[in-house]
Amino acid sequence: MKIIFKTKSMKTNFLFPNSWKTLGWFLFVLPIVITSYFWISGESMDNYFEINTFAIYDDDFILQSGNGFFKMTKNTMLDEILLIICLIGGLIVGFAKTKNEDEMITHIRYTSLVWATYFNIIMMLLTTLFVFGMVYFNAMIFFMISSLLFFIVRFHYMIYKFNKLNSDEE
Amino acid sequence: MKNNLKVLRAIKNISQEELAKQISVSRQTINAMEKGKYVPSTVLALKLAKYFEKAVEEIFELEDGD
Repeated sequence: MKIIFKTKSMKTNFLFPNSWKTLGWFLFVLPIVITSYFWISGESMDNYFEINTFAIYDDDFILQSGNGFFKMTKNTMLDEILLIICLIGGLIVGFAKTKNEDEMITHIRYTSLVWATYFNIIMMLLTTLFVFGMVYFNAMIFFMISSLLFFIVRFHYMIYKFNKLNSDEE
Repeated sequence: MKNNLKVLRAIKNISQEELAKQISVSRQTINAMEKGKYVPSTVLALKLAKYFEKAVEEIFELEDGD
């Protein structure tokens, strides 16, 4: 008797359409540019978008007006908005289909993810061991987007390398 | 893993671009396979075998260390 295991090929790839990619780049880079501007100019982001917003939990360590769950709290939202835009943009850039998406691109994407995870954790270990004070705090903010950033850089660098491999065809 | 894709392609007198189109992958993938930089999935190996009308073992061959 012949037993056949039918493999449904792994079609679920959780990817965004290719047409989103440009939008993704825009959303990913814009907050980084704006944040860099604030860093360089030394201006505080806390001067913008001060609104009352809902908090699941707020310890309110600046105003000391009491902590608690599920309350309205005053906060400057510019940093939050920029981080959210950046994360969504980065997600789209990393996980939008490329123009010629095929199984090798999928392979490159996954190996880049593994590489970026290792690299990010090594950076976090080194920073934790050797960086102290306010710089460490800023580094932790950077680490909110760094694994995505390292992944995106690695992924596109590897695609670039495979494309260059191509140039010497007969 | 070794393969003789480049030879088979030369015999058929078909470009990387054309072969890529026939089995719906990118030209880069064909090129990476020919250069031994990418090991194709079973599905892709079978597609290539079907296209060249050969057995998979006639195209791909295990090497020491695989």
